[in-house]
Amino acid sequence: MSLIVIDPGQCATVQDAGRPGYLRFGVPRGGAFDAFSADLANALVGNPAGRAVVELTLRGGEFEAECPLALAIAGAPMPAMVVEAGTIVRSLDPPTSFTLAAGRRLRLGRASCGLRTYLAVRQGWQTPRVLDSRSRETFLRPGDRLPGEPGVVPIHRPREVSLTEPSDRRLRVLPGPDAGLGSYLLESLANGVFRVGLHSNRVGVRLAGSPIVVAGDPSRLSSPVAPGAIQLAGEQLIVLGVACGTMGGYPHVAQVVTADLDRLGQLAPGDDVSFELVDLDQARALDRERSRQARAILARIRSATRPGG
Amino acid sequence: MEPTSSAPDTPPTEGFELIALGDRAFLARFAGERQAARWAAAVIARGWPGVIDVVPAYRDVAVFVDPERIPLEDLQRLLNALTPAPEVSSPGRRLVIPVLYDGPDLEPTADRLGITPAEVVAYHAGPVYDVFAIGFSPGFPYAGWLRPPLEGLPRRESPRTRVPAGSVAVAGRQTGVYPGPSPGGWHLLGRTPLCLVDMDDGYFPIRAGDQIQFRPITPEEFEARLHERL
Repeated sequence: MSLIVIDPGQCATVQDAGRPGYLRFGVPRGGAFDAFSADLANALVGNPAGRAVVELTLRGGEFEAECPLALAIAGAPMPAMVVEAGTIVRSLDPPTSFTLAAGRRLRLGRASCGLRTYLAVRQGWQTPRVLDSRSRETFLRPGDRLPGEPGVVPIHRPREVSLTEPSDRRLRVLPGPDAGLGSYLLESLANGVFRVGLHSNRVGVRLAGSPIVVAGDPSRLSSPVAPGAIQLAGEQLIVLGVACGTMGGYPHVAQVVTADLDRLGQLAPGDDVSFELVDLDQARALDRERSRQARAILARIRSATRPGG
Repeated sequence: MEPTSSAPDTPPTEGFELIALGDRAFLARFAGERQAARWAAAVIARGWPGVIDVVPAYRDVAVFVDPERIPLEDLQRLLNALTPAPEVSSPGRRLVIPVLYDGPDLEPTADRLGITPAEVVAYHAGPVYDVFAIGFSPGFPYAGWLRPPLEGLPRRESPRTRVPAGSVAVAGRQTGVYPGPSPGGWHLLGRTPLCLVDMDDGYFPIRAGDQIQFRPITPEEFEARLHERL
């Protein structure tokens, strides 16, 4: 039994925790770009972290249930409603769990703030696995079917779930391996305001701003990179996204701290973004603290949504 | 200021520099490609808990860590104390890749270099190449170095939107094989009939640190071995 894709919105993909362990074979990590929001949706239907969800981008689209499905949405606030035969049956106020009855449709509009929203089903979408992951970069198309187990779940809207203010578009960064190419590089980064470009996607977030010039080294060899790497491509910055390649040839001037990577996944084209330089001890402390908070929130929600709980 | 990415001409005997790559990874930088490959193999062989990914690329090796499974400071100490194994032999295997040299860029490349297509084949299939990295797309080996007169071709001005699976290509001082269909800007000299990657099965026969050699084959051998695994 499935959820049928009627309209996949701007672009939608199936994502889970991605493919750690295969970078040395050239396989990108991938996975949900805002992992906390994906796992919040998972927790709302009682799933452990990392189950496969649908990642919706900018505009959600429309989906029809073939059987009753226990669903949840979380992430960027998209107007959401349950529709039957063209009539609105119920408005939803995400993040929330809800049951989509057979024949009814979930309709999601455009995100008012942020970019990515996650649609989870109890036990996760059962799309094919490759290398231990259901993460796939191919966009969903109208008519696609997402297999899921039939189920029901009461509406549950958790309070106090936000780890970061969605309107906060400040990214904390560490110096990258090539920060030494110019003493002014990190300063230019910290003092500038950059705008997220239209051609941004899961592979990279392109930033427009004052050009930053660095003397190129034509013999530079490619080096390993990871999501959050800030590269200087020509005179413009690209922040590598969660689906980035495993190696990069452009100067790697800075690296977004792990604690802010989910926020990177919520930057929408046209957003202004700024950078704040931190040191390694601060970055590691922020990472530990955020992981601790995320675990506590997800555990609380899971226990509250357990059937009969 | 000297770019930090270019290594000194005279490498230290066994030293490397270990720096932070963000807050959950380290980058070890070596003076030479083989040292880097040997060190990467040693890190993988240790199997330390919390080490998620070890990625060798040319003279660099990145080590990605789950800080909830090992304190980063502890791992940093272990990595700093790990020196590359002495070079008794290549850290990897030597793999022979059969190639039907019928690529669309074989003749243009020969014309450009002022030699015959047969000479291009001889220069390309002669040497044993080191695999410095796997990247660009799953299973794509970056290997080198090409020798004169084959080295130094710039990438195509407009990359092809689709390069067929198995294409054997050159650019600059490097050679590689496209395991699956993908866009590509390198010059296509020929095709291997062999399967070099199977994602569904986790099959990645070529690793950084291996050596590869190309062997010219006939159209008949190409047909006979199509889709065979390397």
